[in-house]
Amino acid sequence: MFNSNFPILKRKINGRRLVYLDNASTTQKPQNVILAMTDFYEHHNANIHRGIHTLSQEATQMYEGARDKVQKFINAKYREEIIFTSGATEAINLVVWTWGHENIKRGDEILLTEMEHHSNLVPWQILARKKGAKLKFIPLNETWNLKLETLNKLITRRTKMVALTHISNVLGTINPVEKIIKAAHKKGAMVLIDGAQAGGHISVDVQKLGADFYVLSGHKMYGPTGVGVLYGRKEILENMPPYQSGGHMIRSVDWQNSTWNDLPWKLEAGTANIADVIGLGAAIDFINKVGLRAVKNHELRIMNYVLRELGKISGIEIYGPESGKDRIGVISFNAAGVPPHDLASILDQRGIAIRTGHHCAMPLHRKLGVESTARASFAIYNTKSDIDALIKGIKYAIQLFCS
Amino acid sequence: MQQKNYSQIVLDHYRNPRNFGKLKEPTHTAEEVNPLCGDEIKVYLRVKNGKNGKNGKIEDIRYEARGCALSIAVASILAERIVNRELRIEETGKMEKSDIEQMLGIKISPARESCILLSLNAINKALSS
Ligand SMILES: Cc1ncc(COP(=O)(O)O)c(C=O)c1O
Repeated sequence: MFNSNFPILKRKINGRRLVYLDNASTTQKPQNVILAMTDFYEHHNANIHRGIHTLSQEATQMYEGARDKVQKFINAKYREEIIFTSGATEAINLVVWTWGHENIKRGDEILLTEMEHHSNLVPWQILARKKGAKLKFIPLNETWNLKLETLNKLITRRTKMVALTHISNVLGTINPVEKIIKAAHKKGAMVLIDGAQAGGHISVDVQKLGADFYVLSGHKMYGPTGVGVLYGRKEILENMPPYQSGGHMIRSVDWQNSTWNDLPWKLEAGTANIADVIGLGAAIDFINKVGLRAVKNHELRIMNYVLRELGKISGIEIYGPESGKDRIGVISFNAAGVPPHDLASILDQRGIAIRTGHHCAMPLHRKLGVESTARASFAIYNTKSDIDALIKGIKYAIQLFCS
Repeated sequence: MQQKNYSQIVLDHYRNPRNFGKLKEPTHTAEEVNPLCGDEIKVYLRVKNGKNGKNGKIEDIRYEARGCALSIAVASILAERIVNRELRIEETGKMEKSDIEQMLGIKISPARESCILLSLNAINKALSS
């Protein structure tokens, strides 16, 4: 679906049609995103805010217009709850180094899960070490879902933050974040949801979820690299100290002291990444045009098909929930006798792009009992024939290695 | 279809790695890991003369490795050449990607460079230890 919107899909790789199955790393960009960014540079480029001249006003309108699009996209209550960052990683670090630094004390607990991406693990590790706080982890069960029955024990009065991924970038598991948020709030803990793999795959309503913080990665949802989103509830953001400081984020500056700008600009220091934010706005336009319901149905069909076809090959181990309903977007697997790296090289010869390695989740891979996995991940433009090419390539690799 | 990355040499050495295992009483050992993909190798060398490996002769080599076909195949080929006295200490230090490509009979993409250099690095690390 919508393949003609993605210029890169016309490329040949090693003489073959490109079959792009590395979407959890970054998605390809539709024409309207590319055009929105060139249009900005060709016709509207100027610095934003406080500019009196026409171009600056246009640029400001476009940049702030993207904020409105993000607000609607995740149904935030106020536009100033949307903070632009360089990516999901920076959005999490922003929370860690502002809210976390102010609020986490010695003896406090931070609850994560066993399926976190390094970007929702390492910053908390550093904070916990600095503050003398403790990290705890919601474990996984045999079907690669979170063991919800452990929640009551794991969330204590000392738990100040529960931070977890909405969708696992390795297992594809969709976590019941609404339930977890309720349980956390009952004990007075804050919740951050890492939505890097959810944005553009499932619809997100931050008010309905009740999330305190929600994080998006622009380049994983058809937008450009270098832009991400931090959503934070207004009253929390208002009480947070600045993250970076300098231009734009101030109201007035004295030799010794300064006062801060209003939200959202208080948390956006320096000249913003204007073109990429506008690109992200265009990506949201694209997703809205396709419709998230259509996206989800399409991805479910692809997931069921790939699960069925992979399941037919002997010696394939699939990691993650068995049913296509409990997972979305990614499937990690290993083919017995074919090291993942070699599989990726062989597939690349056939124009098929997958990813191998630990996918920035080393502790999870230790739990899986393997050093690395092969991962195919999907987007709106993937077709059944992409999956057929993948399956054929995997069979070829097995035959090459194991005959 | 011609598999550019996977010559018969690579597949043969991957399936039957030569001189695999431990060495009794090695004079030099070293470990290397490839943090990107988790490939690991430990090499055991017995070197005669010269404790620092200089002007010495590699008398025997074994290795234990886990990883992709390329990294195992290169380890196996290097070990075989060393055991056959086709590869001397002076030479291992000077070997480059292109030499290994020649041994394998294939071109290696930049993304896989670290795979084919893993065992060579381990050998050189052992020799300079
Ligand atoms: C679950 C998850 N969280 C966070 C990130 C980091 O996102 P970004 O590249 O926007 O920093 C990723 C991307 O790899 C991810 O998959």
